[in-house]
This record gives sequence, C-alpha cells and structure tokens, in this order.
Amino acid sequence: MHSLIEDIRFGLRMLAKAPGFTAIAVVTLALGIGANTAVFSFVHGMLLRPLGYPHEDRLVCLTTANPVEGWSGANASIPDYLDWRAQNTTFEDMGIYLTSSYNLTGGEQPERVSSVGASASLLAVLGVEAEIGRAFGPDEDQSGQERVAVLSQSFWQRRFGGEPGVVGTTVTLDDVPYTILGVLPAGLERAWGRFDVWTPFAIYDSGGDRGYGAYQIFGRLKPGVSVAEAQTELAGIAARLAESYPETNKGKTVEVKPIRNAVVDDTARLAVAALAAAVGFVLLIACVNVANLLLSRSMTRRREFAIRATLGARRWRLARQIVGESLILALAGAVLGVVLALWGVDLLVSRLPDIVPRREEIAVNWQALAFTLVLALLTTLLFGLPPALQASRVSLHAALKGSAESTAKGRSRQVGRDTLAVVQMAMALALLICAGLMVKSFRWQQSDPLGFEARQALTMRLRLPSPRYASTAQQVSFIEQAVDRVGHAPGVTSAAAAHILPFDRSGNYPRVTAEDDAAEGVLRPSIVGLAVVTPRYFETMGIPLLSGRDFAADDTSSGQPVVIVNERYARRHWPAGAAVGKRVKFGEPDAAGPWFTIVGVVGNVRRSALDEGKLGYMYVPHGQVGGAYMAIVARTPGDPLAATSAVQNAIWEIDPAQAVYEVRSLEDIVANDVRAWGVVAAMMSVFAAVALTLASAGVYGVMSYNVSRRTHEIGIRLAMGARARDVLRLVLRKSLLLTLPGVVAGVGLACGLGQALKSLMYKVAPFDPTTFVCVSLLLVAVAMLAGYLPARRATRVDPLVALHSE
Amino acid sequence: MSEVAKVRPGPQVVVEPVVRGNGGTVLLRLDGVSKVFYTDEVETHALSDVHLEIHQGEYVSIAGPSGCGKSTLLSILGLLDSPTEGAYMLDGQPVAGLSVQQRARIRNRQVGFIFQSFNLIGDLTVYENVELPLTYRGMPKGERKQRTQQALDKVGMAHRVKHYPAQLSGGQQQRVAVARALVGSPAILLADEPTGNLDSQNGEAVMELLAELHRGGATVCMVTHDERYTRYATRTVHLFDGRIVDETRADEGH
Repeated sequence: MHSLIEDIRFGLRMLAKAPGFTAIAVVTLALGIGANTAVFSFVHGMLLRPLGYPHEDRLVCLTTANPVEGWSGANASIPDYLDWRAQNTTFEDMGIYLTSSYNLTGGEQPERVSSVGASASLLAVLGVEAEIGRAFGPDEDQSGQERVAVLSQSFWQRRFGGEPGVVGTTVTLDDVPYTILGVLPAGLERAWGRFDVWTPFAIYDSGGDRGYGAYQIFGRLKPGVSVAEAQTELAGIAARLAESYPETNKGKTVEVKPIRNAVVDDTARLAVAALAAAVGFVLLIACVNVANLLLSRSMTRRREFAIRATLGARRWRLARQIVGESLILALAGAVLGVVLALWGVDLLVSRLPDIVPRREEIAVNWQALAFTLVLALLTTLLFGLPPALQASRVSLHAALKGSAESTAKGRSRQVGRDTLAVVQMAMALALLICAGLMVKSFRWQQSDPLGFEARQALTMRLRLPSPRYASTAQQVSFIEQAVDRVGHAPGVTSAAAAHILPFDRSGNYPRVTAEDDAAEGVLRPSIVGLAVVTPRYFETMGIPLLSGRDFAADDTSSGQPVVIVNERYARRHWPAGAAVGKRVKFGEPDAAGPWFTIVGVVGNVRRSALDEGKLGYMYVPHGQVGGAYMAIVARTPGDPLAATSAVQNAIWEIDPAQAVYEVRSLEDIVANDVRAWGVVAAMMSVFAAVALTLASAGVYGVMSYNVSRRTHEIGIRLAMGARARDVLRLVLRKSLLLTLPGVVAGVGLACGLGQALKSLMYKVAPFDPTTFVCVSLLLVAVAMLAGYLPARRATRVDPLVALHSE
Repeated sequence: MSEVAKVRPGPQVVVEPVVRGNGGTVLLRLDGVSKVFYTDEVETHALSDVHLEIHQGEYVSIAGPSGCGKSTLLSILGLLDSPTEGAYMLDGQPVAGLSVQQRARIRNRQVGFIFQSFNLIGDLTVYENVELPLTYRGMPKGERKQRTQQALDKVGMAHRVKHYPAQLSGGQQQRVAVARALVGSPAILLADEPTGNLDSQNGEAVMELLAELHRGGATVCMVTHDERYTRYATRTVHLFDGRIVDETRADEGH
C-alpha cells in the first residue's frame, strides 16, 4: 500500500514535470469521457431509469403487428384483448386503456382535462394504489355502475389545492358528475405522463369490433416467466385468432415488449443508441491518442525504467507505475469531463422539444457519476496498459548504453502505432460519415416541401363532450358552425377542421380496397392513412387540389359517400391518372361497408419529420362520418397566435362550456418535430468534429514520432542528395499510407452503421455517395495537413546532425 | 562516429601547411578553410587555415588522432557542412553561396559517401538502398536497375538484393554502402572511417575494394585514424588540432 502511494506521488510529480503532455492527455480524455457521461445521462434518463412501478421487470406492453403487411406497434381491439387475457397462462393479469380528454366545467372557463379510461385491472397490473382514498375496483368498469374518477396528484394539487376532503365529492366531466374515489401518487405521472383524471371504462360496452384497434394494453407476467415465453404463448393465441377471424386478424400477431418500450419508442431508442455509439467511438479515439502519447513518453523514459529494473524492480512494479500515472490522468480527465457533461446536458436538454420522451429525467445524476468513474477505470486499462507493458519490457543493455532500439523492434512498435492510427482514422471517418448523413437528412427535413403551408396557421383542439354531441348530426352541426364562425373571426382568412393534422403523433391507418385496381389487375386492399376533414380544409392548409373537387357542404351522411385521395394513392392504383370517379371501400374486398367515390385528388403531405409522404392517404368528409375529436385550423394574414382570442371566442359563442386546448401555430408543431432531429444531428456533428480533431492529432503524433524516429534516415537521404521536396514527399506518402487504409476501413464501418441508422434518415440513402466521397476527401485532407507539419520539420533536418544522432 | 571537435589547447606548433596535389586536374580545392563551432561560452576551432587540393584519380587518406578535425574536413568536402572561413572549389566551381537545393544536387551527382556506421536505411532492401541516389536524380527505372545491378556486382553483393541491412554482416553492409556510394558515378568517393566498425578481416576486404575502385579510375578521399590503412592511399594528409601538419606520398614515404 505504501509503495502504491509512493507510485502515485511519483506519478503526480512526473506529470507535473510535463505540464504540456499532462494537459493534452487530460483534455483529450475529458472530451471522450465527458461526451460519454453526457450521452449516458440521456441513455439513463430515457432508457434505463426505472419507471417506478413495483417489480417493473415483469411489466410488459402488448401491441399488434402484421409481418406480412409490414407494420408493427399498433394498438389492439377489445375482443382481441379479452381473448388474450382469457387464454394465456403466462400473465398474472392484463389491463387495457384509452387516453382521451373531458371538458371540465364548473370553473371560470371550461377546461380540457386529459384522461385515461382504463379497465379496473390496469392499476392493479401496474401495482399502483391510491395515495388518498382508493382506486376503482373490479366491478366498477361494468356498465350501469356509478360514474367514478380518480385524480392525478398534479391535477388534485392544481384544481383542488391538495385538499384531502375532495374524496367523495363530485367533478363534472363532459357535463356528467363523477364521484372522486381517490388521488393517485405523484410517481405515476413520471412513469406515465401527465394525465389529469382516470376513469373506469366499461369494456364490454365499448365495442366488439375486432378490427377496431384503438386500445393500449399492459400486462404483468407471472413470476419467473420471461418476455420471450409470453411472446411465444401470445403468438400462438394470435395465430388461433387469425384462423378463427381471418377477416380482421389474418397475418396479425402480438408483440410483447418491456414496459419502457411503451414510453420511449424504437425510433427514439435508435437515436439514443446512435449517439451512444458515436461517443463510444470518440472515447476509443481519445484512448488511442493518449496511449500513443504515453508510448512516446515511455520511450524517452527507457533509461529511467532500465535503472529501476537494474535496481531490482520487477516487471509488474514498473507496469504499475505507468498504470498509476494513467489512472491519475483518467481521473483528472473524468473530473473535467463531468464538468463538460454538466454544461452540455443542461444545454442540450434546454434545446430538446417537449416531444422527446422522459426529457425531464435527463440529468447528470449519481448514476452518471458512477458510470464516469467506471469509464475512467476502463479507459485507464485501455490506454495505460500498452505503454505499461512496453515499459516493463525495456532492454536493459540498450537502454543503459543509451543506444537506439533494434530496427526490427522499432519497426514492430511503429507498425503497432500505425495500426492504432489507422483504427482512429477508420472510426473518425465512420462517425463523420454518419454525422454527414444525419446533417444531410436534417437539411432535407427542413427544406423539403411539406406539401402544405405551415406558416400563418393557428391550430387548436376540441373534444365535443359525448352527452351533448353524441350523434353524428350534433357533431357535424357544431363543427360546421365552429368553422364558419372561426372563418369570419377577426384576423382569420379561412378556417377548416380535421381530426388529424400533419405532424400529429398519432394516426388512423385502415385497410382500403380500390375498386378498379389497374396497377395490380386485382382487388387488393392496402394500408392508407386516413383523416376526417371539413370543406375548405385543403385550401386552408395550402394543400393543392390536383383534380376533381373539394368536399362541399352537401357531402353529408344522406348523400353519396365520397373521399379525396392523395396523389400517391391515385398514381399507385390508377397510373393513367383517372382516379376521380373510381370507388374505394374500407376493409377487405368482401367487406360489408359502402363504396366511397373518389371526388378529388390532392397533393402529398408529409406527416412527420421522418415521413417522406410515401403513404397513400385518404380524406373523408366530416359531414358524412362525424367525429367528436377535431382540430380547428385558422389561416391568418400575420402572426397566427395573435388570432387566438378571436378564435376561442368564436367557439365559445356557440358553446361557452366547450374546452379549447393545445392552441399552437402549425409552424411550431412542425418545428418541434424537426427540431428533435436537429439536436441529434448537431450532437452527432459535434462528436464527429471532436473525433476528427482527436484523430488528426493522433496522425500528427504518429507522424511526429515517425519523423523523430527517422531523423537519422532522413539525414542519410539528404546526404545522398535528397531535396526538401523528396523528404516532404517521403513523409506525406507515409501519412497517406496511414490514411488510405483508414478510409477503406472507415467506409466499410460507415456502410454498416448507415444501414443501422437507415430508419432515422430522411431522403438520404445509407450509402449516399456524395456524403461518403466528400467526407472521405475531408478526412484525407485533414490527415495530410496533420502529416504536413512533421513533414515540414523533416525537410529542415540538418544531415550532419542527423548522421551523428544515432 | 569518431570526430568530436575539441577546444584547441594552448600554444600550437606552427607547421607550414602542405597543399600539394599530384599534378593532374584539380577536383577539390580548399583555400584557408577554417571551421569554428560556437556554443554558449566556448569557441571550438575544428579546422584552421586548411589548404588542400585533391586531383582526379587520386586516393587521399586523411589521417590523424581522434578529434583532430578529420570528419569535419570530410563533411565540408562532401557539402554536408560549410566552412566558417576560406574558399572551397569543387570541380572548378566555388561552392560558397550555393543554395540548399544546389548543394543537394552536387551531393547527389558528384559525391559518394561511405560512413563508418554504414548508414544504410534499415527499412529498405539492399537493392533499394543502393538505388536511392539514382531515385533522387530522377533517373528512369530501367537505367536505375541496370546501374544498381552493376554497382552491386562490383562489390560482390548482387546475390543479396532482397535482404535487409539487419540480415547482413558488418562487412557486407559496408560493401552495400560502397555500392551505394559509387552507383551514381560520382566525381569523388568520401569515406569516413570505413573500417571503423569492422573486424580486421572485413576491414581489409573493404580497403581492397576501395583500392580496386581507385585502380579503376575513381577519386577517393578517406578519413582514418588507423595507420595500417593509409598504405592503400596514394597520398596521406596528416591532421593535428585542425591543421594539416604533414603529407606523405606512397611513393616517397614520410
């Protein structure tokens, strides 16, 4: 122990004696460790941190998928849920729910409250109990029972001032009084998201349509049952259901995933994984740099080690001394890295849009600090071990005589360093290419036409309470009036409504069969996106009408069913351009529903930052199908938010109890989605820039060492008549020889990574040749520059001095 | 390397400088050449007022004790260093004021170096080492190959072309160095203690090789502190404390 302290003390003294070396090594490690700590904070906050449910490892979410049709992660229908629940043996229980909202009345203004309509089993499955009062029991999700509700902690605090006596009183939701049973714990909101009210919903009354997949399901596995076992069993049940109900369930299966997958989707997971891989590369490059620095330094300390060995130091003792110095460097790097991470995480989180899941949980916490410490120890081994081994193998005779090491030995060490430099170049290039692809993708996301005009448009949500707007006619009447009044409100040039807007994070994707499928020659249903819209929606949104007509006021339930399709759907099914007049039907060819006539074709619209508008899309008139959940869009000549009051008042003139919520400009909705990818692209770019800088410094270091090692040789060459340019060429050729294998390996690595990141890219191929070529040339140029500086020094070698230097 | 410039000791024996050739065409001519090395507080006179002519076809040996300035003199002759004072004419042309590039060109075309420690490049094969001066001359590959092969034949190392220096004995390495020195058909071969790192048998063999090259018409200037090898030279110039103090001709003795 005493000798270890001595080693550390001596190590500190040696590092203090070489402040330049120490500073470079510490900063290099700080960049690598700091980047990893920052990204770990994201990984931990978004992916690893427990949601707070008891025995969370047994909680899973269940979604449906259809491998044949190529979709997954979809919600389930109630009949499927009931069958899964009844037939399985691997689950303790399952719960089903639907998120929605209510109009809360009784205050100064009607307020929209978000709600979870859940089966009575859901809270039990999650293991959540009320903090005050009780949650709803097993018989309270049956029809005919008294209306009851459980409040979330934040809603209870906000609306009722945290008054415990609220239990047993009533709250009016959608004009109906609900008895408050209890208040849920605060921790649930972190795990679940912010919902105000939980109400039981009567499963058996909510619909027996097996094709209506709108519900989300959680399950709790029995102790000792794995996710894979549950998956296998439910896949078997799904296969039986597919046989029994081919019309709705053909090809459909079940996906069982850990509950955290329900909170952070696969795309966000992949983005975080990509960032984690990127910083992993940065750290490896940093470690290689520091290892090279230490290798060079240990060469200058050969004599010191030889003397120590002569005096009886054993190999492991010499190695320990170097490892001790490495540990000091790593810990110093870790401290500085944590400072960088604290600053970086704060900066990044403040720039993340609110759509990023679990955003508020991203922080440099004690887990991140523990991770940093582990990382520091790991990096010590990575960069400290090779020099330590080299130092412990010092040749006593040669070192004490002060003579150079043998050519063969020197060559093998040089090969080792060259290999490390090549690895650095490869990793830096792969990272640069991926960052290039992400930046290009982000630029496309920003610049590619949306298919609609996002500027100067105000949007807001309405959910018509069911008691007063239960029928389609009531819903249609209200929305017609609302659109009309909003359209005539001050500062509004036109208005319309739709149940789903572009860049909404949800959607309806029914199967639709085209009547005259000229492209295929047969009737074949396909998945399309669906939106219910009012007349003038396309005009208000700025979506071009390419042929046919817009919906009209007389497109009502008593008229002929009509639809408008987007250009992509029309081209796919009627390439000759005669879509207008053709008919489509929801469901399979033999489904009982009516045929809808296509009356118009409109332009394609992007639905999210990553959506290229490739999906066929269909619009149905609100006048024919109704809908209680609608978004109002108001086109304004100037700042859309300036028209907020006018639009809200226009709606409250019709129904003062109607809640209006999520008032935002359309431009903000789009920017919010795209911005998240901007942050990912920016982070990738910063990491790639750090990687490039470190790798260039690595090449510079290797080339500098190379020139130092070859000073004698350069002297010989100069004596033989070599000119400055001959020497320059000699050194630069070496630099190129390091770079080219790095480029080849880096391009190969980037091909693999690009393929893995494919689903995060917009309109950019994973093997985008422009990015690959430009970034590779950039790397070569930077590497040649890094090699040029030592090369210039080589040209100034004095042959006389060099020949005497051996 | 053998030569270390020393601080000139106190009073000097004043000896008339010997500046004498063999009467043929003058290839090298030094007039009053001095070389002083300056360090922080010490001024070291490595050469003082050296006058020397070397004629074409001569074999001149520069002899003297360690530290007398032999290698400094050879470095100046080979344009690896410049005199502090005095003039140096090579093949009738003054070399003072030549640019770095011009000096490199002259070294490449007119001078062949043979060093005590061989100075072969460890990462290059025997063939590549010998070919090196021709590469810097920009000679076409075919011609380079032919001349390299001839040079290696001349020193008896043609069978080791693919070997690396580390795979050869000291004597063999020096033969390769000789081949490299003569491959460009230089005006003069400058040998700095060519036998210093060799045993006596290999040393004799290398000296025989140089003598043979001389008999074939080469001009050779060799630095040695080993009196045994001065007998190969046609003329021996004796250096002491940076000055030429004596000259011996093979045919006339001391």
